[in-house]
Amino acid sequence: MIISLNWLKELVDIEGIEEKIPDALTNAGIEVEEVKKIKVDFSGVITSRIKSIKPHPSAERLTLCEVDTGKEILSIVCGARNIKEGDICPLALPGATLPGGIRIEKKKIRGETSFGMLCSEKELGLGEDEKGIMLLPEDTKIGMDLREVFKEDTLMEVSVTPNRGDCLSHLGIAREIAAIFKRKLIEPEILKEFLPLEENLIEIEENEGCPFYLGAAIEGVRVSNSPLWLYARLKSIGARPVNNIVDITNYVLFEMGQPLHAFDFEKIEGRKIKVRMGRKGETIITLDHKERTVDEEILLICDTEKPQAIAGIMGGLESEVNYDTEKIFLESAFFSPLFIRRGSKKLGISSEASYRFERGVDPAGVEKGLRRGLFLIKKLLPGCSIKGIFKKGEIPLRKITVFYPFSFSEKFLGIDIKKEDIKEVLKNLGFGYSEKEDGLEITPPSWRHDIALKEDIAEEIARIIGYEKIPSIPPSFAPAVVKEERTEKLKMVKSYLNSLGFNEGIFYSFIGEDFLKKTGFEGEAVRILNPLSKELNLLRPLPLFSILMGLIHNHKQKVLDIMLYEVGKGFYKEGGEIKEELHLSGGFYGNPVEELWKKEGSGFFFLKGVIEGILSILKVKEKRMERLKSSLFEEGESAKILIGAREIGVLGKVHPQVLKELDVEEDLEMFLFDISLEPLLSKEGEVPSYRDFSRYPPLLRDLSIVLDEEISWEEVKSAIYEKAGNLLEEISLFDIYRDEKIGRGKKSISFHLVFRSPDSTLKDELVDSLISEILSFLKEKFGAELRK
Amino acid sequence: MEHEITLEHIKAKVEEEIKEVKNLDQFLRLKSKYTGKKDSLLTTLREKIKSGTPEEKRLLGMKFNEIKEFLEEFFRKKESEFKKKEEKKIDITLPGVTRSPGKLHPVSQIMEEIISIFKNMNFDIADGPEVETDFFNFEALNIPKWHPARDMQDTLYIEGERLLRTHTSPVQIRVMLAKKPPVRIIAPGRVYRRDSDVSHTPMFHQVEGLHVDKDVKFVHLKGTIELFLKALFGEEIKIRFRPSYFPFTEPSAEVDITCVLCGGKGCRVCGSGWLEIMGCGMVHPNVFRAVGYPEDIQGYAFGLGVERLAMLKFKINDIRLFFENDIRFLKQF
Repeated sequence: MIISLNWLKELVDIEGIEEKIPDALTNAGIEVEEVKKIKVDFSGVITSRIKSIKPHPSAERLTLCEVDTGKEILSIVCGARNIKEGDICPLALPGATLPGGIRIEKKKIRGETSFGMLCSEKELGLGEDEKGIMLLPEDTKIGMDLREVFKEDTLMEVSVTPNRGDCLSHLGIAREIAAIFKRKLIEPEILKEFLPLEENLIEIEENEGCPFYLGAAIEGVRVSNSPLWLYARLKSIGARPVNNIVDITNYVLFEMGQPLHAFDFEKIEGRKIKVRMGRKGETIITLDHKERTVDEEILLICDTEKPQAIAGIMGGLESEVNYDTEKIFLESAFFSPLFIRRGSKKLGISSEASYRFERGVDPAGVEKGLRRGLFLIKKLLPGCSIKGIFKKGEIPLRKITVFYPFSFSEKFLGIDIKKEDIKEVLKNLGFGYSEKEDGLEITPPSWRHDIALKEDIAEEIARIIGYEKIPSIPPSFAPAVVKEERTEKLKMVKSYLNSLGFNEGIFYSFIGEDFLKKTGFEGEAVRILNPLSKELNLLRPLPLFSILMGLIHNHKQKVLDIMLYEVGKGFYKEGGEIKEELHLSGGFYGNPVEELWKKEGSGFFFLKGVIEGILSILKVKEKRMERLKSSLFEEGESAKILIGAREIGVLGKVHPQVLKELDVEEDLEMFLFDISLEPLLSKEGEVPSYRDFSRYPPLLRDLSIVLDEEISWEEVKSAIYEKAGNLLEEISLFDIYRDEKIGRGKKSISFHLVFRSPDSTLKDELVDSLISEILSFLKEKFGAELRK
Repeated sequence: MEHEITLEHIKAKVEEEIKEVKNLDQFLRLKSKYTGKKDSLLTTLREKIKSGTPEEKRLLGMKFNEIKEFLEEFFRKKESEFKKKEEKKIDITLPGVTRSPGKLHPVSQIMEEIISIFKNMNFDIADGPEVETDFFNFEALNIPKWHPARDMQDTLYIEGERLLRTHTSPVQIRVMLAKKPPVRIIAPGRVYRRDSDVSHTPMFHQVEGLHVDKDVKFVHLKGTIELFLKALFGEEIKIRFRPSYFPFTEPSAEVDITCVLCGGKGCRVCGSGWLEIMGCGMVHPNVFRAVGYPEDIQGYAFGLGVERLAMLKFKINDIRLFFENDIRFLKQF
């Protein structure tokens, strides 16, 4: 909202404090976002009327105008096309200066003398319009110095928080300034004349939506352009002047915060105003020429036949006040914030009026606003006559008092504030109070809907004396008892991945439906009802999909190799409920580790090693891997990770078909993994207990055996353990070899065996006999032969 | 008469000859000339001993042993010197073979910094769901339906009457419902709003704080925030508390610090010399009512956006870069 300092001057005495106002308002909670100085940087410019326009005899693009200054008729050469005879325009006379130090002189232009220059808004520094000559209201007196109306000003862009609807006007801001600087408020002049209040014209069907409705019928109205002062004032704060009646309603809105609406009374069927809810299917064309369909949740102002306005939001086109209007009905009402907000959201219309009604107008200001409007109409159109003021309903004044104990300042704010200071702040803000023994019984002013509790009063006191006056005391902190095991574990996992060369990524939790489909995902993802775009319309089932997206993004940027991970949530549906779970996903392509691609499957085994590392940090021992069937991965190079019977993750090589779908070369070797962190982090940290270890020397044996390709290392290993008993300390694989001598469908595996006894030095004979038992067991079980 | 061979002569001669030796090859030739198994000085000397009388044999034998010992020792020493010279030198400017470590995401880095400051002030860490209900995200925080404050946060809605939390404040409610006072927590996490431009993304991170007890006052709020901001930005910054409005706090404040880029003089980023850094306030009694806390409990809450701090710290001008995850971006921090 734009606040003009010139306008403020009419409502509060600000002499000598003009410069301090922006900071003072900000420090009191009314944030001034920008201050703009408006300079009137011209002189010698007067109002003038175009008497005639003729083509310039020797220049096609120019015209020759006769311009009336009130004193004389001057001949002016002009290049603009927007003027016509009778228009009132600013004229810079010879000797005038314009912004930027431009001096206007009598001058011959293509053989014709021009005795001055007609000016555009831009040339005068009054606006941005530079296309045509500035057109002034038609009733403007000519020969007047333009500086009488367009004055230097300071404009403040003010951001008002939603609780302070009372500050959405110049009067509201003036009240704050009066309270902060202890200055006198000047109430705007209103029509004081007593007029009998009549009820017969208005009917309210919906009391909750409209508890109080006032209106005045005025006849003999002559609708025209506004006088220059009104025109200039509205323009200065960025409002668009329309005609004198509409401009007065807007003026009152920006001045006092009370929205008014003027109807062409002759268009109101049956001369009756009915405030009611809409009916299903009912339509109205609003002032912006759009047809709106309303329903039972939209509050309307109707005549006996149909809607004439959407209450508090926008007027109807049919009863719009235009140049033919002679009788008007001027409305000033209190509409329920909830009703207006609901209607405004539903229809998607937000107007200056709805913005204020939503935040609550001053119930006591409804009549004042109307009388201010009537005063201005009378002032502009002394010939019109006010036929009566009509009223329905009761002023919805809140009957509320708040008790503020004197001790509360110390208890709540932590600073003792003197009784006298409290009372002064309250008085200056318009609060009423009566003093009791241990506190104040406070009545907030009618415009302060936001005050209901003693905490609210504490804030008023604090913000007016200034937050900076309240000291800072660091609280004493008793040590925390909760051990942050989750965060610590997560930190260790992250730094493990970092040290392996993985970078952490953070991705949106959203994913596009199309993308997800292309990965072969078949489940049902959680849907966002109002997504920003179709690329962000689902919640990702796992961060894994985001990693895939991130790897592809980097690949498209021609990044040669990359390793990424993310810790974030995956979202899914389970029995109609939406669930979310913390996951760790990661992946890579390219050559992350030297020598990685020398062997088949080494990408898989690298990632498997990474996962084993993570699980080891998280102190998980009992894990298994099984083959995985998933359309995302190549079946031969993917696995699921299990703890007991519970699947906690997957890893594998992305299927070429998926890459193809996603527009990536099929032969790119890309690997992904995902681990569900919840079961691992929430597990109580296992404290290892010490186990004694043998100090006797070990005996080492290396074996190479030949067996069928299908037999897994895991099977061989457990068979050996089964047979060897507890003297076998360790088995470690060191080679797998295939060639024609060994035979098709066969492989040779070589491994070290470490034997050690807890209580004696082992004898070779014992180990040798164990080895032959193991070998015959392997032969019996898998047909394995010792490699020669 | 043949010139008598003495140890001194040989010493002088071999030391003279070794000076001419340039590499291991020449050295081995020289060594073989003196001590080789065929036609060397030593073999010649040995032959000589054989031809002498028993007395001569004894004397020559002693001399021979002296010379042999000397020569063997001499060549042993020299050999290791020449071998050392022959060793290959590697190009030490070749790249190291371990992969350089990856980095934490810049947002995580700032997040960790914030968390560790509050951990030092003995705040516990709390967590909550990102998919929330209207009750936890709005109602319980004193933002009823149709409240204009809902305009401050454009919400993303999800099927099943759910929404994505627009702030981390619902964690306050969840913690207070689960635990009796005193409570002193921070809740870091992702939040979502329906917004997208150079300074807004539909997802970003917040850290929420809450401290409630019987005697936690506005002065303590100021004290805690000042301690935190000085730990994060340095002792020299100035801090300004400015009255504002949040439905779930009363009084409420916006906290500004002097611009970290221009030092408060006013620049393209801050404009006025102040940077809006966080929001805070005393918890609204309606919030305590919503969680069933007794009347005499009071305390403060605060919240701040992590991306904004990361942008200031790393001089990042477009918030969207954080979530693109281009490796050339991630590597920089």
